[in-house]
Amino acid sequence: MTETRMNSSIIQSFKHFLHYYQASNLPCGLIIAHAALDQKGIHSLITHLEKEEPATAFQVNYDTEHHILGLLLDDCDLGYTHFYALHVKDFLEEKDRLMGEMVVGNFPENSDHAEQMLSRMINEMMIEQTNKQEIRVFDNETIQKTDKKSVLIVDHDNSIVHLLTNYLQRKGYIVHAATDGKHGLEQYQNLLPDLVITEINLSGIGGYQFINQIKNIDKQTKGHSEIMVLTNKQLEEDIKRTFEYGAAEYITKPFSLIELEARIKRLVEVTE
Amino acid sequence: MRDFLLVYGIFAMYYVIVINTIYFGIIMFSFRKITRIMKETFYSKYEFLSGSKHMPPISILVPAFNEELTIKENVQSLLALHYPAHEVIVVNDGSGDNTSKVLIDEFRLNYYKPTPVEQNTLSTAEVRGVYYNPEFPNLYLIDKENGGKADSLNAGINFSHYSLVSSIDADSLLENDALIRIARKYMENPEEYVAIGGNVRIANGCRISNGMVQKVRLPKKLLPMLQTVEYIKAFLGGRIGWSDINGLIIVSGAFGVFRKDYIIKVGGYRGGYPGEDMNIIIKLHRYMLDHNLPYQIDFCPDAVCWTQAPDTFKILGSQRKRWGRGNLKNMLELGTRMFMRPRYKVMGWLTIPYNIIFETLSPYFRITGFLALVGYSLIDMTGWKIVAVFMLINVLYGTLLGLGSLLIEELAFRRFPRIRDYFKMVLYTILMFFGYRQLGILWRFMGHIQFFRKNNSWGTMTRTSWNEDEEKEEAA
Repeated sequence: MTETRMNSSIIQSFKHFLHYYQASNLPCGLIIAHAALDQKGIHSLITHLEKEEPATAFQVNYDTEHHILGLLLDDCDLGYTHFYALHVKDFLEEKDRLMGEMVVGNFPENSDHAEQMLSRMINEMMIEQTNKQEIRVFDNETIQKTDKKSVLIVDHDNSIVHLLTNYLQRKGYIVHAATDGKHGLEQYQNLLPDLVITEINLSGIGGYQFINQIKNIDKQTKGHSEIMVLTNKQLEEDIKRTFEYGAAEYITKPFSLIELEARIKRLVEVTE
Repeated sequence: MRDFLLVYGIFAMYYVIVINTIYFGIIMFSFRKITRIMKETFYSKYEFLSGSKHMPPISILVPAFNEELTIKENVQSLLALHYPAHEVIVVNDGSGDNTSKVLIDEFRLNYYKPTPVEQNTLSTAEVRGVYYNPEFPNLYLIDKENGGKADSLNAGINFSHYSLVSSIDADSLLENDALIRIARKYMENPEEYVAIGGNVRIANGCRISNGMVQKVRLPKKLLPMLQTVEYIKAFLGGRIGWSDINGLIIVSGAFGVFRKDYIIKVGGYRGGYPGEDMNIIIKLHRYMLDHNLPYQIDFCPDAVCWTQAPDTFKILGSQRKRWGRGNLKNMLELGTRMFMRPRYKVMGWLTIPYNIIFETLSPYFRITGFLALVGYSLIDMTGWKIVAVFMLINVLYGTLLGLGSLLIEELAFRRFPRIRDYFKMVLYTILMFFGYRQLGILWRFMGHIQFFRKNNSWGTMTRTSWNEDEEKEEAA
């Protein structure tokens, strides 16, 4: 269930807008709500909001699969986003459509990465589904408190990705995967996983650059992810360089799943 | 007069038939060798080798002249090659554009003074500086005065740290495992392999992103399509066979791996004329045979390098004229000295004579022969049947050879996922004989004229950014 969370249509449809706000450093507000709506409902919501707050430009998207309503407000601060969310809540409650909580967030007040914030807001909502019909302000730290650890696997070899994904999912990790360096970085930026397992032989950008960029992202977001290298490269030179770049583990292929899991446990659970 | 024209015309037709027959023999060798290559590559674990301690380190030399559009992606994909230990040395040959700046900005390279030229190295144009960033320990940029491609390669060889060097065109893309495939071949017999060439394929029409060919497709334009078929014929039908009898005369400048010590022993790349890639191989053959050393120059068809083919007549013509000039220069300078000399074995008896008689001189025989036949049939209209029969034989024979090469492609590589691609290639194999081949011969002839008039420019070559497709995708 949680593995599919990245596929929310809201993320897809807001991606480019958020990218734009972030790049041009413009503020924007995000509201998501757990609600059951149909095409007509969305329509009347839009007319309702246009009547109540005619001066604000907004985007609406509804994720029919997960029943999440997403709103993107142009050029506003957190206070106004919250105020606006009250309108939305009024409307939903009146129609008895609200199924759970609502989360509001603002770029740049809640997070300095708009896209990341949205995917985390949605993640949180889907992991801790409560029935409390309340508006909650997004807290940048909350995701760290969930006890499921997330792992990002980057390897050009599909069979390795499949094997690790299945194995680690069964062991209770939340697993994401990418098959090249560029895609891997994008994923990393949006997810900030607890652990990254990567090959050095990547395409697009090489493994060293990939690790380097992760460290740069970490610096910006003040986050931290452990990096484990799982590679075909067996040269001492590579091992040395990898540790210099800040990786925590170096495992060469062929590898043992048991050993790998033990090392993962040590990395992500002891550091808490 | 009439009889003379007929006799000469028929002689020219036999000439063409002999060419095709030799080529047929070569293709037979190709078939013999391809089964061995298939077995070898099928059972090799390249992924594992790409991290092995036992693979020799390789210096990749990238001569770059006005390559600002493609150089960044290229270097990035070269740095990301799956190989245990390699360095990338970009040699900026006094470009007039921002080739250097693009790289310096992207990789935050710092300037270092060039070390003084040591003994036992090749002489080159002046090196202005070396750029390096410890964060990218495998990347070097050499900035030097303009001196041509051969000169850049020599400067790269002087600077390189490893004993194997690989020359790569700045406008081509290597597949991730290309280097490891060549290196595995090399490790079969490190003593004897002095040069190994890679397979060059045409990337026009393919979908490229992240510095990699993602989807293999045939080109949509006419000229690149004809070149695709032509390259398959030359590389798979021709070079595999030539390498089987150790008579390979060229390792494409776009991608090859060489023993550095022998390149230095033969004096490095020859500047001043195009065709330096053929020149170095002939020199290697000659050096090894002169010194009675056992050696092999091989071709590794599964190591693939993708290149952009010219898609206008002007640029293709300038490329072919350049090849014509280079070929003529090499044959005059080196070929004549090895022609029919028993000491040079296959090279002396077959490769060099074949190249002189059937490649270098072919425009003269073919053009005069064709004119003779046309003249003859104008004088005597009843003779057209002979002419037609010969022409038909020529086309059929040529098509047969083309089909043979396509068969090798289909047997061993299957790069084109769609069946209709093969039909399309068969069609163009036949189409090639109606206009394209003749044009090629004309261009070669014009190249010779340039040579004798001492016109020695490199000609025009334009580049388009590899990112073209990618950008379109993002916009969509």
